Amino acid sequence: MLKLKNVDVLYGKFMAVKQVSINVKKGEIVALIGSNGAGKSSLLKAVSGLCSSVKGELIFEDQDLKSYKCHDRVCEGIIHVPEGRKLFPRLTVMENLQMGAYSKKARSSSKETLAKIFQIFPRLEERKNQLAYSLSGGEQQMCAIGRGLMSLPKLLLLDEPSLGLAPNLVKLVFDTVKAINKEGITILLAEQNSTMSLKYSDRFYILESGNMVNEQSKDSLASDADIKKKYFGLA
Amino acid sequence: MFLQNLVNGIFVGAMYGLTASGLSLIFGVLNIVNFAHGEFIMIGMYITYFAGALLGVNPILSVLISVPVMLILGVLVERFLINRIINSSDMAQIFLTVGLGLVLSNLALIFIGGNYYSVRVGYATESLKLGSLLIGKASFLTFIVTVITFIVVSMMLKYTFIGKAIRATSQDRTTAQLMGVNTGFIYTVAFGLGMVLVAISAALLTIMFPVYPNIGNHFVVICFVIVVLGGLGSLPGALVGGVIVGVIEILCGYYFSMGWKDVVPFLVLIICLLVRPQGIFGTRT
Amino acid sequence: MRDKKVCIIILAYTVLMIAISLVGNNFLLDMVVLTGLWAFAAQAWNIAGGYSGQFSLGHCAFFGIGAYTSSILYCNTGLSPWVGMLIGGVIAAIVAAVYSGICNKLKGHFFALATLALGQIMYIASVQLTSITKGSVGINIPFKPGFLNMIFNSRATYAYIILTFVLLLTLFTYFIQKSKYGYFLYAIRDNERAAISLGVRGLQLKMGSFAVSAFFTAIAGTFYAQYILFIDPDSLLVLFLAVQMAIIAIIGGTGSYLGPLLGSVILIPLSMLLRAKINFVSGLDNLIYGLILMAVVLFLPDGLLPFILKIFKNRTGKKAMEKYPKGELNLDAKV
Repeated sequence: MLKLKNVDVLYGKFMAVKQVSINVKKGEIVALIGSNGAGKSSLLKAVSGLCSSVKGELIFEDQDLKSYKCHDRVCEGIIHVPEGRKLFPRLTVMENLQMGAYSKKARSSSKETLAKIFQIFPRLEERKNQLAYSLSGGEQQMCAIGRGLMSLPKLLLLDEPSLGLAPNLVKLVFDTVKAINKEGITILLAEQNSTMSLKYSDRFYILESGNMVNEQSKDSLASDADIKKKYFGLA
Repeated sequence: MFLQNLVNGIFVGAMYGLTASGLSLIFGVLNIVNFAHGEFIMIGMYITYFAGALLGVNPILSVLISVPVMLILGVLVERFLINRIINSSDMAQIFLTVGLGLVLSNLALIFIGGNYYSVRVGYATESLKLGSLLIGKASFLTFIVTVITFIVVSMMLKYTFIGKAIRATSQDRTTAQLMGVNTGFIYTVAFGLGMVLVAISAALLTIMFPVYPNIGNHFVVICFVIVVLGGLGSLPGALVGGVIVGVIEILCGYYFSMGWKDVVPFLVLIICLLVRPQGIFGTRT
Repeated sequence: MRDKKVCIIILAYTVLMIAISLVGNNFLLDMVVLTGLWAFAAQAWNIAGGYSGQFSLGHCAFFGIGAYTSSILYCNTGLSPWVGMLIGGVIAAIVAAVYSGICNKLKGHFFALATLALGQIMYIASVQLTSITKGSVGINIPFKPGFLNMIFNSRATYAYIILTFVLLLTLFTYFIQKSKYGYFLYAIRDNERAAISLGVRGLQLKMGSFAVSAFFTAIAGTFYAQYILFIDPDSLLVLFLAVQMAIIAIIGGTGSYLGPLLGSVILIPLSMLLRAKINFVSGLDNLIYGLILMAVVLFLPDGLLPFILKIFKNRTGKKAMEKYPKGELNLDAKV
């Protein structure tokens, strides 16, 4: 579904991502794992179109993504839930969700989608008239994911969904991600929390200071003690 | 007499508020202080004046001409100039609009000349009596138009889809992009809308003030004071800030000398910048 | 003098001084004087606007303080404008330091707004304080030529004086730019927080540079008053004056001590010629100011100076290429 081949991401002269190739198949949860500054966010930004100086091939459903602008990629079915939620602080929860359905395609069916999202996140319905900045961290993350889903995405890019959340909430978020995935939405996830990502994803890629170190599936990991030790603290 | 001054202040202030609202809206969305705002007011006033002088159109009705003209002008200026410096340094942003202001006011000076022109309307000198209060018909009329404009624009921002996108863009332009908002288009819409507000307020100002090439300088400083007071980017803030400045101006003019009253808005501006730079309705970024 | 650039500056100054002594044309001398005056004022503006990033739209206030202080002292007490000039400079510097300190937290647009307000307050004050400033009537400085009175029969004398001023200020900014303070100021301009966290004293340096800038702007004000011999609020304390200083510096290039000089040499003669030759259209000179400013901001955001230097370097580069056609010369190392 999404194919990146030899992708470089540049900020001015600084290269945040070097020669990374990844492949996401329809219906998968794929995780990008790596520490702070490994280039995970930059890679997601390259896919969503927020970073404009990107070299290499970006293919989404057999189309060259590079000819699409950021807002056009949303129409094509890619939505990026950014790191730190980034809700619109002075819009209500309801308005935030409506902003998610901004693209023309999603707008016409926004009422039905909204009902569905309130089913997944009943808390959001309770708080729908509250301004977004007054939500708690967990509620904000739900609102951000819900807002992303409002665009009826095919591919959901999630940047650090567990950041700053209490452990029980982290589990809740990952359970939700899994549930969303079951609905048929493909997910590309960037996470520092490698244990959780390992548990919930089908495959993962490891990034280190902009370079791709390794591609693994759960099964192949069992045989790779080095990786296990270095990134997951498993002996 | 205090009450009379207060009412006069509110009426003048609301009109100032409308004049400043375009500046505020543009700053809120594009994050650019438009130092050419005064010159756009000047153009709006000339359109209203000439609509009256050449076509016999009433100043209030002249908005039918000035709104579309200013809208087109705004869209062109945004597309071809402002657009290019939206991510540039502060210096580029400040001095591009400063330069634009110079160009516009001197074009007016060259092509229209330095004369002062005023519109005469029959009701300018008539007043309504409300108990012991005297209310000028003209200022009453401008007040009504101002309030209606504010309500319409606020509703538009609150309830329409594009209005929500404008607010979302002003709060976080990057995330708005991620939600599929074409922010470049929103900038153009916001600038155009700002120019529409300028056109309406300029039509009202023409009833009370003469127009000449440098009239912009007179209003632009008041506008800056108002938007800083009310919070740059906030529409209700512009109205409240306008009323505060209007009331202060009229009261100071009455109780102190006429000449010194002009200093008061600047003192208010400086105090406000120091104590609460985000304004009354603004939020810290 | 080991420094090559200083030698070039002084050489240029000497050549200009000799050239002036040969010029008899009053219009040309007027042009030299005004170009020098605005080069001086823009250079002064640039110390605050270009070096420490405090984009002021209120420098007319300091220009006015300088002009009014020396003129009032001279007309009322007979104090020599040379002394009054320094007093005005000090007053302007104090006002500027305090104001910059108050506005310390304001950045970019907001700082520009706050300084704009300062200029306007000074304007209103000078109109209203009629007992001191004579209000909008203005002050006529009686024509009594003499060195102590800073009034001269010949425009050439004014030209000598302002060129010397420009030379001194240029050397001053040159040494500032080269000193550690120059780097500190650039650091503050580019990223204040980072600079402060590295131990640069942001507040003091900003206040200091603004005060120095105001001091020299006030001196320009005194010189202007002594040259025109008439001052009033509408010629000294209008927004356009503050904008003009900024425009000259920006068009020339704000990053360097040569930028304001270049800006003035281009703009002032141009606008004077326009005003003299096409005098039936008023406003044409300012229209062109505005157009050039917009063009520079859009296409050459660093000003004309780096652009011209680049052309110059390319040309010498090309000549070098002709000399060494086989690429024996490492151009990169030279540029």
